[in-house]
Amino acid sequence: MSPKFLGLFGKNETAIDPVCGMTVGVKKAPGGTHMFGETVYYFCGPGCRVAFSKEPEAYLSGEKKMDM
Amino acid sequence: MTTIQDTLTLPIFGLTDDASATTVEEALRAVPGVKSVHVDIVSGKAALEVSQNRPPTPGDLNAAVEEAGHHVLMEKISLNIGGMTCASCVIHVENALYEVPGVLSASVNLATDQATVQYLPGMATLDDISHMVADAGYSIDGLAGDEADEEAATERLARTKEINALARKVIIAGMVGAAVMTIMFIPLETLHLSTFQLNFILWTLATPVQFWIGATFYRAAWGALKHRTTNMDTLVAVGTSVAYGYSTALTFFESFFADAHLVHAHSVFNHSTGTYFDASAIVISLVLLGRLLEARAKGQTSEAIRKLMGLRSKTARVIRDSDEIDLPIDQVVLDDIVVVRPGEQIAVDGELVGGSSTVDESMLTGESLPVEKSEGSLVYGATMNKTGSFRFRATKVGKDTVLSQIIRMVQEAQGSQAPIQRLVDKVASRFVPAVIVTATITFIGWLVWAPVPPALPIAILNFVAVLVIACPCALGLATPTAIMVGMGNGAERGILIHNAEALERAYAINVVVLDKTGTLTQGRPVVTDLVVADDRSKEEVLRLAASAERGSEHPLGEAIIASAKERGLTLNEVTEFKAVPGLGIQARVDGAAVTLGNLAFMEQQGFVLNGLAGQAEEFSTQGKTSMFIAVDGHVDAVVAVADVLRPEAKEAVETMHGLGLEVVMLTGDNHRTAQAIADQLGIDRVLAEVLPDQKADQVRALQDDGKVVAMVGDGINDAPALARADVGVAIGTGTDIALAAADVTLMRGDLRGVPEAISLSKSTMRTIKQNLFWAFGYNTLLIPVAAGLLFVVFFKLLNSPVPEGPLRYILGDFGFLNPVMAAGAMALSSVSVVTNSLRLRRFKPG
Repeated sequence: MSPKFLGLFGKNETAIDPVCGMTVGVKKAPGGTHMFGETVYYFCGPGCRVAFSKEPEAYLSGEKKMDM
Repeated sequence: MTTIQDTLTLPIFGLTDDASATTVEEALRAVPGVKSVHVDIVSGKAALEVSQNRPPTPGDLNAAVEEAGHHVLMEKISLNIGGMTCASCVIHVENALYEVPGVLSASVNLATDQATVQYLPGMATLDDISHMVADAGYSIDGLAGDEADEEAATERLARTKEINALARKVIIAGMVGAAVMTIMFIPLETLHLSTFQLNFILWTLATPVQFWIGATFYRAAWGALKHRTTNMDTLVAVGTSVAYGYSTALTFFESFFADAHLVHAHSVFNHSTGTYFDASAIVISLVLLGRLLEARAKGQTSEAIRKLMGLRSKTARVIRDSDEIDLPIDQVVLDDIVVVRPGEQIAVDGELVGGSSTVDESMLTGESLPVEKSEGSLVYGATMNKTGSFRFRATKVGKDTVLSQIIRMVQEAQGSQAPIQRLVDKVASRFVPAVIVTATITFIGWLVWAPVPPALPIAILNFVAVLVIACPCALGLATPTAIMVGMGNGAERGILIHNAEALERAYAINVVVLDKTGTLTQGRPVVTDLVVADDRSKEEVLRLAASAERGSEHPLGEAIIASAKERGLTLNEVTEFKAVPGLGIQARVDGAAVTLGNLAFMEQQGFVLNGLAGQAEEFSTQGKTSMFIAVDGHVDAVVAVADVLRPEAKEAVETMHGLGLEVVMLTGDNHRTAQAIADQLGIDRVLAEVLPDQKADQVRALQDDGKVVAMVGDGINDAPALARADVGVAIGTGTDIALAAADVTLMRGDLRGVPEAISLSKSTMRTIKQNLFWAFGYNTLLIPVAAGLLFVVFFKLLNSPVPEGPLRYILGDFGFLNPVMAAGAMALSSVSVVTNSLRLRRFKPG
């Protein structure tokens, strides 16, 4: 079977948006990615990425974690 | 969450003296969260130091200032935000908005993608806000629509929903109807079913159509019955119920009908089952199809209004506190100075105060040539600035702008009722009961005198056919659709018809009365001739005369100055200016004593006319005003000034003649002058030496002779005559658009609009009459066919059955109209009426 066809069944890799906590598909993250340290972060929208890029530590440490 | 700066500046409106400043200061200081206040009356601003932990709310601040008798100049806008994907986006956007200095509050709604922002216009601009939001990774997709637009959008949505629901019903009913019809045509033997089994299948198919999809007819018919009236729904409900009820009875009580020799009535319509479920299902689907097409078409007719609404601009660049700020259109107030750059849309109505440009006003006036604008010119909201930049002072905003007035007027006019509609309604109210009586007579008639044994089905089918074909549903559409489309077309070409009654009356006009000044003429005098005595230079005399007139404000003087400027003459200083009312002026230019005035003035001064008297006499026969120009007591020239005719006047009069109209000119001028102008234009009759307050009487005199009179005037001093006339037409000169006095307003100051409006009226009335024929005449004509009179033709006169083929399905063997065909004919009449009205969209005069 073609890789494309397998892809339909294969589990899509996901990541957690560090800003809002949403689950985001890795392949085509709607908000793009941001590299901080050694890690690539994925975002639900450009807004979250901009917010993260301004103060990454705050979001990673949980200081800016928002209660939803 | 709310973050706020620790200092705030509030622009305050209405500060006049120290006392009011102190009042405001005290009021603000009392607001919780305010630490200190300083009000400066020179800048009109209050500087506040506020607590960061517990900041004052903009509402509190505003309330405090209002209580002190003043206003905070605060702006509140709604913005459409793009790019919000998750709940935290709300906070990101809010934070971004609060980061803009001057923003007092911001609240973002994720569900509607909208942000409501309150800000101080002196500090924040829309640009700042939009930049900050973009920096945060979002976008501003324009201002959220105003109320009227939202209303229109909601209405559109509701209409679309209604149309979709109707379309679904039509499809379902149509499919069922088609299925029922197909089954009925298959011979019983091929299906291996008993008559009862087959009829039972058909009954299960037809029942939901009858009672679910057809419920709308029952409801409406019941509503009418409660008010002791009948309407088209009554006809459909009764008709289909009879066909359905008879077929149902036949299905379940076959034996009863069999005894009466009724079941095998195949030959009536080739039906193998004896039931008529197809008639009920298909009639319902076709009537609904007619309504669906009608609903769609109605949406199209109000397109003109939507186009006009779409013209409104959303923002304006306004100068406040010497800053240029972008404001939503509804926040522009009177006397705001608005800045317009090349290619921009003008936001509101106003008077130009600086700069100059050309403006495309075609959206309002239908005039395609751009109009020159300079200081003092009026500009209108929704028009397009072309090349130059300028500033204007807002004189009309919001619902007062010309565009808003036009929208409101067209809306009202499109909804107004033409007198012909009242007649139609009256006839329709008699028509339905008459049809029910006719149908009942048909039923009884065929039951008693049936030509072949199965009398009941024949009677029932003819009864149903009569009810359905006579259904006057297209009647309700005939007049309103034509009026809406006709007026919409007029509005697009700058002809505003104020009500349907005027549109109807304009059709019957046979005399058009034209006011001379400002209607046939341009309404401002210009220099037409200059004749010099001896060998004086024309330029030199004109230069002296124009220089002398600089001190004057008389229109004749302005004409002379304009003429000099046209020739590129440089005017000199004027001293010792003296005006003698009713006679002329005297002044000193370049050391020479210049005297300008009429014959009486020259004689009074004792000047010799140098043989120019004859020339002046000739000018006056041509309807021109003469003025003599004397330099140092020597009469050098005579200048003729006249209010020149509009360039299109002759063409307009000719077009009116082409429409068979008598053209009359009304003027205060003397007979000789008036006749001279009338001859130039080919005007039929002249009413001269008419004082302004006698104009209405002149119109009445024409009406007393049995004429239907249209009066055309500039809408101000002609108001009584405009009101008196059967149709009053106000000609907009671009400076004043009198919407109230007249029945018709020509936005483009062009006389050719008069014949255009009349031919539009004629076209609209013609369309209404055609519609009434399609809706009424045609159905009425088919009633005898539906009643079965063709039976007489085929069997008594031709002595043969209906020939094989499609005609057999329509008329059966005996020449009885199939109810399905009756329903088709009815739906077709609705469609033809609406299509016919929509043709008016393409109306072009001439």
